[in-house]
Amino acid sequence: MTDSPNGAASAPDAGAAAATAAGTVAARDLGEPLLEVRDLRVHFPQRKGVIFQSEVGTIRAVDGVDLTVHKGETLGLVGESGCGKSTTARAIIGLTRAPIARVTGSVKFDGQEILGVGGNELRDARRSLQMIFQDPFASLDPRMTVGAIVSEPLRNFGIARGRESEGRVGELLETVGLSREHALRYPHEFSGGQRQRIGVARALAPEPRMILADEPVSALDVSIQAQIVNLLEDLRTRFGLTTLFIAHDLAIVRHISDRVAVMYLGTVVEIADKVAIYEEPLHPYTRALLSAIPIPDPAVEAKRRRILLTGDVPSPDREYPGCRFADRCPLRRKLSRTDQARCDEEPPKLHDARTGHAVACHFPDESV
Amino acid sequence: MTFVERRTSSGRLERSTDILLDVRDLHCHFKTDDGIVKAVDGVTFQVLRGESLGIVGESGSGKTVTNMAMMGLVPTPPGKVWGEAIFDGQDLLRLGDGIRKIRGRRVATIFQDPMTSLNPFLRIERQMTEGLQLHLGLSRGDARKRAVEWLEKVGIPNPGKRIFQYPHEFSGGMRQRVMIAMALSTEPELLIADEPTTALDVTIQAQILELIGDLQRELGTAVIMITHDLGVVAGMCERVVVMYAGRIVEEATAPDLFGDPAHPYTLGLLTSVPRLDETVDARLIPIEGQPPNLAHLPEGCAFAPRCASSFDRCSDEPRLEDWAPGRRRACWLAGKPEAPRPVGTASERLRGPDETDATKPAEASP
Repeated sequence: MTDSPNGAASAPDAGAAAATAAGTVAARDLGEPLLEVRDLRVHFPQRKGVIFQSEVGTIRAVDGVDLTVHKGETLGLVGESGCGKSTTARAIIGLTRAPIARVTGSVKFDGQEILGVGGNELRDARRSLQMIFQDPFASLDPRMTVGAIVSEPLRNFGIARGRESEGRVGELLETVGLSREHALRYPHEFSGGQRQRIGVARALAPEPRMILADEPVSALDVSIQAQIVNLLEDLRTRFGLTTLFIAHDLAIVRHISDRVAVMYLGTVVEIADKVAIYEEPLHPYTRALLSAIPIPDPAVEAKRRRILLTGDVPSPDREYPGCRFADRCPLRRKLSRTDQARCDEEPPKLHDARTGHAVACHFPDESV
Repeated sequence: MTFVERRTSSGRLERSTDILLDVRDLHCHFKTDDGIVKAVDGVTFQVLRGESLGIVGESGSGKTVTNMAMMGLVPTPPGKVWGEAIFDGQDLLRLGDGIRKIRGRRVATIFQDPMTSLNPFLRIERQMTEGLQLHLGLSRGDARKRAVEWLEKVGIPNPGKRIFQYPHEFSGGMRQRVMIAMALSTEPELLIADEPTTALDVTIQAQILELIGDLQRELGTAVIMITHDLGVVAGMCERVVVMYAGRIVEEATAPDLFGDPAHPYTLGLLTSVPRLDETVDARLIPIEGQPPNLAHLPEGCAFAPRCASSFDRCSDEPRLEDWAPGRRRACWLAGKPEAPRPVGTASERLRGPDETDATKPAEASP
């Protein structure tokens, strides 16, 4: 999707095709930022003991994340399990907070700081920022009817009551492809895909400006995933929603996003327009990640070259003096001694290596 | 004489009778309060020596139960298993306890979740040597030596030391390597890998698949790869069977299946997933509806209620029949299924027909 809902002048598919063909991405007018995350850190202290608790360590789940999501765009956030993508989303919306975690940094929504705020400010922020969760079985209260689930935000934010609320719930259910009659039923009567639709209806209820979708399709069967992806695309166009779409499935992220950010071990290592990320990845981790994804076509598979990473993702329980990816990096091995030392000692900053294409690597122009 | 047709690397079809496993009309039904669940309902396929066969399907399609039923791992009752699974001349379903001589020795299985397949209370050493002592009659010392060799072969650093650790001291990818070492250390003729990488991250998945492929080539082991991921099958398997609601709906060589799917369900699966290498933002074409309830299957073809090409004949059950050389499918269609056309991009569809040229296909170049 290249057409932004506010940019009526864009010629959607033609533009995307032309950009791909040329192999370069014209700097797209990204529009105004809606969500700005600066140096977000979420640290979980590891405590020991029951009464005399002592801190024995820190899990640095998110360790300095910078992200900007512009009005009307869908930013895909990808990475492997444990890289901190879900924690980032939960910290943005204020679900992960003290005293369980130490959250520092800045999260601005439409210019307003929302990190660490409480009371009315938090309510306002939550009304305009809604979340869709991964597990459609765990995220719906089994004792509530679908109507009660979807109308809860209406009640909580004082949007609608009684008859009016009922009518609104009916509309919402129809919007997500269910019917009005479903309001009287309970979650267990629905399949996984339908439950995820209920979760989407609940998220849409307070008329949010932005949706944080945390792995919204990964718990669903392959044949159902496309239904939910299409629904999210439709809603986004219809309501001009801004979306942060978190997933580990890079093919789905490519399909749904305008721009993509790649996370590794608590930091963003690369962020760019999706065509640039997929056709011209600069970070060695992004290159390895993309090459590892199987493509359902034996002819293509036979010709592909995989960049196999050695080892596992290291634990986020320590500080890294240099690049966090250094010990698994296929590029580092090919560098000179002095360059290797730089990888080990100096943390690479996320910087624009190309126009609109930021990467956290000292040597983005070397081939892997 | 039963034979299997498969494609050589040059693309030529050849017939082979070197069949290692011949599964015929395998059934596995479960009695539940909700009625009889037909988890596997008449499955027939063959595995050749040294080949890799993919079994693809969504959750509940019966791919895992097929494996468990063959290997005598389905508890009866509530399960009921019948049919034939002839492994090298012996019917696995009629061996009784004798199957233990084959299971783990000549046929080994790797399961999806390496944490639940390993005993958390035993060191890796004990878990690996147990099978080697039992099946190969090795002494504990020889078994340990062989186990260490295998851990090294699957890429576990410092195997001499790590063999004395417990499963929780290994990461997910490393545990799956231990499982592979354990499965292959008795040098089985058939390896059944049941979603071996589903619980792992993609970069680790690539490592594990590469490892399985390398070992298969080196040892000549036949592999059954059970997965829901079409991408994994495309890279790993020579032949593929596609399962839906407990039955096989299509069987073909991998290039045929992906290049020219013959069953509407296979086609639906291929068009509903976005591809990493897609460059056109075509709208995904989902398979409408839900997978069926196995206790209350529809009359006739189980896929018919979700099928874009269904017609009156689909109320009879189609049999899996030869359709083209080397290919079988269970479908009443006379020809190939027609690809459902994308309904345009999300924005076009919502803008309505008056503003969109609906007759223009989405992939037309500007």
